[in-house]
Amino acid sequence: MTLRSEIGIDARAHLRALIVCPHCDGLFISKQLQAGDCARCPDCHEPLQGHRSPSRELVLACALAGAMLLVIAVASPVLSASFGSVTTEVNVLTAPDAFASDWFVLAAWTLVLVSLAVPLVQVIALSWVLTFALARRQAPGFSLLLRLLQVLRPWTMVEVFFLGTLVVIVKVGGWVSIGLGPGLWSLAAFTLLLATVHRFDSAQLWATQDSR
Amino acid sequence: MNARASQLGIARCRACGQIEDMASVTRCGRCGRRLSLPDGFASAERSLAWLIAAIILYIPANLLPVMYVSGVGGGAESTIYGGILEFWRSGSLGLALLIFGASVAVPITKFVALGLLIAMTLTQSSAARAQRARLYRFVEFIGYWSMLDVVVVALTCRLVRFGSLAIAEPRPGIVFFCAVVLLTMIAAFSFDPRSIWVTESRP
Repeated sequence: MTLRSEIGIDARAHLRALIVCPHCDGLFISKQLQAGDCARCPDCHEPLQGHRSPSRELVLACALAGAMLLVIAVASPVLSASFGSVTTEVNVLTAPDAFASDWFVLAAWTLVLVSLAVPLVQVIALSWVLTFALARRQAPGFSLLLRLLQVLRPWTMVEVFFLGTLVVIVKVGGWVSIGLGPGLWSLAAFTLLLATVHRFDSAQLWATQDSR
Repeated sequence: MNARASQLGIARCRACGQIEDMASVTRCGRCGRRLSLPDGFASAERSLAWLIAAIILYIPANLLPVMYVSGVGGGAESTIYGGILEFWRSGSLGLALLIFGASVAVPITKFVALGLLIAMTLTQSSAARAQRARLYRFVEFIGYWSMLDVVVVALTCRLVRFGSLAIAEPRPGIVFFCAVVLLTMIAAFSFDPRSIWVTESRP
């Protein structure tokens, strides 16, 4: 353990001065950054310190708006198609119906999860945690919810769903007439809001908890 | 290369980012999660297992039809490649390229890139570590766009339900394709990027 004593890691206070890169496990001494500076890992270039995160107020607003937009995308059609006198409609909740039979349900459940359930849980959990954080209190289930948000994050695919609707407009629009529903615009808006939500650095919520 | 935290028994909590000394604690003092040092080889082997499963399912995903469309003039099944060719022939080059990118280029890039990352971790290569870290972030980023074809088939089959005039139905290929996307995503997340930087010899 000579390396340990060289760096001088023997007390908790010293641990606070250390940075460990989450991406490559590199160990660095934290530096005092000037305003506007940001630090990247010298080994793997992962952002480490001082990267700008949108404010908690903005992210809360985006998350709450996102929850409402998802409700719109479920309650109203995203696309409709007319052929002769028959009109069909589809939205985020009914799209997986296409895979209702047999073992197609694997694809159906995947679609329900990634285009609706996961993003909805994500924005609701984030709104819950942030509402309490802004009132300077710790939300019930704080630690569990932050962990959940971390796990769910890569499984939100509303952007992919939105791009898929655009492809279908062209693909199906060739044979039948396609109508754009309110759900389509709410999906587009959700995709934009999600970009802000995903830029939020939830580590700062843990830091607030330390100072209490 | 700088020192690795694990060489000194220092761990960063994977849930909340707290730095802890594993000589004195086994759980994170802030969020209570059990601390662990990077387990590079095990993560690479787990990732390899998921990747092999994905590559095997990629074969039926491409050979089997993904959709059946019928109109007044008769019906036809189409595969993923068939769908791309159809866009190409009808003059929608941009869409053909988009679907080609999401359904063919992205999965194959993931197979090759993850295979390379896993092989280099398992052979303890020290070459191009920073570039491999970047490659891993790229693989993580592109992964879910492959779901595009699943969404397109779902929406098309839900919309085109006009009885004998025109009808679209899904075919088994799309389920295999969906499974491939899920498996490659799990393979990518199973791989611990910290294993790129492991320097100790294999236990």
